[in-house]
Amino acid sequence: MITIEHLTKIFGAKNAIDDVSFTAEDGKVTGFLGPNGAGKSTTMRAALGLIRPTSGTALIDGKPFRQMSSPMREVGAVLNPRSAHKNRTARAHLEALALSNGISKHRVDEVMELAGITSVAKKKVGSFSLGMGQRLSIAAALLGDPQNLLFDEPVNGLDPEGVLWVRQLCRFYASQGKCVLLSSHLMSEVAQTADNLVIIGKGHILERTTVTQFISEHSSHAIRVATPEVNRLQGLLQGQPGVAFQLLPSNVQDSSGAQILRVTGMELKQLAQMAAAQQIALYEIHEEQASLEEAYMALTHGQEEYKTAPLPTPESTHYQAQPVQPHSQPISSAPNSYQQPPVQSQMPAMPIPQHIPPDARPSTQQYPNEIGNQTGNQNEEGGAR
Amino acid sequence: MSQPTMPGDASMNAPTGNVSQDSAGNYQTSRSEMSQRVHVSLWHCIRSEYIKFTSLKSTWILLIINALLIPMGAALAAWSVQLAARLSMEAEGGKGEAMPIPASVPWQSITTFVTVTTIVVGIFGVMSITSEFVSTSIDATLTANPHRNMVLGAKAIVASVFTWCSTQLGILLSWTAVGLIFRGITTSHLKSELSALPWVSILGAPIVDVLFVVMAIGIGALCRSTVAGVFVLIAIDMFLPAAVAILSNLGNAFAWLQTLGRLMPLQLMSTFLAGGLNDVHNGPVSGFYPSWWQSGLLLLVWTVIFYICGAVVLDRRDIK
Repeated sequence: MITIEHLTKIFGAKNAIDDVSFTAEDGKVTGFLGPNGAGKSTTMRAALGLIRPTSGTALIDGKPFRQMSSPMREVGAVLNPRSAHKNRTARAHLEALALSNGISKHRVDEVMELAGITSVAKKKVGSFSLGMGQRLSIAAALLGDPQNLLFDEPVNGLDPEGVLWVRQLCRFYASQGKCVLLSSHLMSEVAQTADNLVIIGKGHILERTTVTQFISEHSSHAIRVATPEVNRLQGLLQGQPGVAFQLLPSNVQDSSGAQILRVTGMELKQLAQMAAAQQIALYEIHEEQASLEEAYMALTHGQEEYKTAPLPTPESTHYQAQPVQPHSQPISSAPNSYQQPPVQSQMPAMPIPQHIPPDARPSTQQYPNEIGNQTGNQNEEGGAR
Repeated sequence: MSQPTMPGDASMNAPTGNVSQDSAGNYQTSRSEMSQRVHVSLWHCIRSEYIKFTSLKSTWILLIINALLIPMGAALAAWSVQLAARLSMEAEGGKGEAMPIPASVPWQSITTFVTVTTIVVGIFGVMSITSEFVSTSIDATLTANPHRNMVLGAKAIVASVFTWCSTQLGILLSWTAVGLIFRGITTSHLKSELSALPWVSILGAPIVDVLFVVMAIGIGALCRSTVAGVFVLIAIDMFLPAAVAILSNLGNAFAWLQTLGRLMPLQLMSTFLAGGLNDVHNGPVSGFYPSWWQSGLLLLVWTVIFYICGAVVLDRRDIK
C-alpha cells in the first residue's frame, strides 16, 4: 500500500505539488491522472525517495522507501524508459540491478522473457527503441517480484501488443493482492486498467474516486433515440413531467437516415415501453454516457501546465486546396491486397489467477499472452469500463 | 483492501517467463525461494558495481591507458638517464668507467608518469558516478538501492580495486622496463634516508592513485556532470597549482602561497612518490614543507574532504 500524506514539494519559486494526499490500496490498480506537468512524476519520485519533499510523507507499506532493506521486493518502479546506460547491454543492466539486492541471475532471464526482450539481451541499450527501453524498465521493476508497483507512464512508446501487455500485467499484479500505482495523462488508458482514480492538476489533487463512480458522476444519462416518426415521439413526450428532449441537427442521423432525438429525465426502459405501446418505430435506442475522456477533460480544464495555441482554421490559412491526384491503383482494392498478419506474441503467457474457475477463463489459444483475469475482472466489476 | 499475504504464498506468485506448474496447478516463481535472500548490502552493492564497471568499454580503455602510460613514461625517463650516462662516457673518450648513477634514479624513473596518469585515473573516477546521472540510470540504481551512501561507497571500493590493479600492473611493467634499460649500468648504494623509496615506488604509486580516484568520485558526486567534474579535476591538478605558483612570485606578501602550492594534491603526490628524496635534497625552505609521509597523509585529507562533500551532496540533493 502506498500512502501519500500532505506531500508538498517546492522547486525554487514553483510549487510542484501542494498538499497531495491519497492512498493506493493493495489489490487495486490506482490510476494517477493529470496533464503534463501536473505533478505526477514529482509525487512518484518523492514516494521513491529520489526527491526530498518540502513537507509531508510518502510511505510504502508503512515505511519510507529509503529505509527499506529489501527495496526491490517491496517496490518495482518504472520512471523512465531511458534508465539504463546506453553502452551497457540489457542483460548487464538487469544483472547489476538484480545483484544489488542479491537476486539471482536466473531471475534476470525470467523477467527478460516476460518482457519479451530475451532476443536483445546482448544488445546495447543505446540501440533500443523507446518501446524496447520501456520493456527493459518494466523488466527491471519486476526483478524483485515486488509487492508494490509504481509505473510512471509505462505505455509511452509501446506498440499495441505492449500496451495490452502492460494493462494485463497491472491487472494481474492487482489480482495477486499487490498495489499498483499507474500514472498517465491518458484517461482512456487508465480507464481500461484502473479501479481507483486520483486526478491531479497543477500540483493539487482534483478528485479521488473510483472509475465507476467517476463515470457515474460525470454522465448525463441522456437517451438517444433514432426514429423515422420523430413528430409522433415528440408528441408522446410532450407533457411528461421532468422530461426534456432535443432534436439533434439533421446532419446527425443514424445509418438508416432516421432523425435522432435526445431525451433526458426518463429511464430507457420506460421510454421504450411507451414507444412500443404507441407503435412508434424505433431504429435505435441507447443510453448516452459522457465518455471518461470528456469528463476528465472537463475536470482538468484550466489545469494544464503547458497550453497549446489553437490551430489555424482552414479559412484563416493561405493554403489552397490541392486537387486530389488519382491513385494509380483503385483504393477499393487496397484492403483486399493487404492481409492482417496474425498477432504473434513474443511474450510468454501470464499465469491465470487460481481464484478464477476454469470455465470463466477466456480462451488463451488465440492470444497467447492474454491474461484471463483481466477480462474476468472487467466483467465482474461492471461493463462501465 | 485485500488481506496481506505471507511471502511464499501461492497467491503472491508473480508472472514469470518460464512459469512452471506443480501438480496442484500452482505457479512456481522465484519469490518464495528468494524471499529470505533478497536484501541490499554492501557486498551485494559491490557485486552490482563490478558488473556495471566491467560492462562498459570506457572502464577498460581508461585502465589500459593508465597501465600503459606508466611504463612508457618510466622507459622514457630511464632511457634519457641512460643516454646521458653514455654521452658522458663518450665525452671522456670512452676510456674510463662511466660514473655510477645514483640508486634512487631507477626507482624514481618507475613512478615518473604516475602524476601524469592521474588525469586518466581522475576521469575514470569522475565518470564512474557522473555517467549514472548523464544516462539517467541513477533512477534505476537508486530505486533498486535507495541507500545512496552505500552505492557511492561500493563505487569507490570497486573503482579503487580496478585502479590499484591497473596502476600496480603499470608499475610492474615499469620496473621490468627500467631494469632492462639500466642493465649493465652500475648504480650506487641507496642512502639509508631513502630506504623507503623502493617500497613507495612499488606500493605507494597504486596507493596514491587509489586516493586520487576516490577524490575524483567525490568530485563527480558533487558536480553530477562529466564535463564539470573533469574541469574541476583539471583545475585542481593543473590550473590551481599554476596560479598559486605565479602569485607566490609576486612578492613577499604572497610568499605564504608557496606553502599552499606544496599542499596541492599533485604536488603532494609528487613529494610522496619521491620517497624522501626531496627531503634530503632540499635545504632550508620558507614555510611548511611536508615530508614524503606527511604528503601522503595530506593527500588522504584531500581525498576524505572531497569524498565526504560528494557523499553529503549525493545524499541530500534531489534526483530530478
